[in-house]
Amino acid sequence: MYEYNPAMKMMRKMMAWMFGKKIMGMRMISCRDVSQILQDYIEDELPDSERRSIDMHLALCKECRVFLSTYKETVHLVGRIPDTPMPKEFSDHLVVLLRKRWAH
Amino acid sequence: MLLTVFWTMDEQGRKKPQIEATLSEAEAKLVERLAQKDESALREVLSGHRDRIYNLALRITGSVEDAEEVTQDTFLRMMDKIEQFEGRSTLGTWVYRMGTNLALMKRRSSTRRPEQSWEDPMEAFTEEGLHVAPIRKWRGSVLDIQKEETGRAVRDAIDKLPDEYRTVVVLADLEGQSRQEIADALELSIPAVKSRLHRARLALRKMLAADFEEA
Repeated sequence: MYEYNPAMKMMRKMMAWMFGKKIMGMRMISCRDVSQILQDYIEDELPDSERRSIDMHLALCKECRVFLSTYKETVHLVGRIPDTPMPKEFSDHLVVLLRKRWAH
Repeated sequence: MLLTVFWTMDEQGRKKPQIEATLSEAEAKLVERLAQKDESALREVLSGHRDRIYNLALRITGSVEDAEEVTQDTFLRMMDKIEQFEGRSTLGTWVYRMGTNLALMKRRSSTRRPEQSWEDPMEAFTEEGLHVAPIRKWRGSVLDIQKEETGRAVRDAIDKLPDEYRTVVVLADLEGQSRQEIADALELSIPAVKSRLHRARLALRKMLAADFEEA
């Protein structure tokens, strides 16, 4: 478990106090709420009001900014796993097998 | 593939676009040659699609043997059904869909990988909804999938996912299939696909964070 420094502790208390309250016309959502709707946020599928609530949360919360960037990095890395070459032996076998099958 | 857009009216009198797809001339000829059992046409299809089908099958089944079997069965099925191909999609998409279904069937029937118990490595939050522990950035050096350490960690993390998450993340994030295509292939609703995908990504993020976080 990591320790938070006193300034961070103060910030976290302030954030927790704001959760659920309306600030500048927007509902302040919690870090838990942010983590639940990140997928729709990065895919731009949230209604405006929810998107603005996340934007406001992210502006104030470093944890969630890093959480969002590592979530995106996860999706990015998974999507770029290189292809595995097909074993040459199998590739040759496949052509022969299909040709034989076609001959009948 | 050629797409023609035309407009129709729905019951409320609103205009709705409809898209009709037709095969390009070259592809229609290829299909015709396949139907005539032209060997060079078969070679053309194989060289264009076999690696993709093999990798799809390998990612879904997690086994080289199963992936080889699925690849073989996909092209055998293509040859058997080529006369039923109606050209509503490209030949590649049609073959790819057959490959997806066969790989999913193989995965479901496979007894090689006994299901292990799994608990979502979900983020922990305080009662108020704050992260319990600081979230740390990842080392810049790990953000390249070509690096051996990164490639291995990402593959291992995907391998650890339970089937229901692994399949969805493979189809969505590796294969780039749409939510609708995945919902159809897995017989799930779109919200269920999205929910599984999100949980799979959260689990992967958590597993990778353990290896990738800055000291």
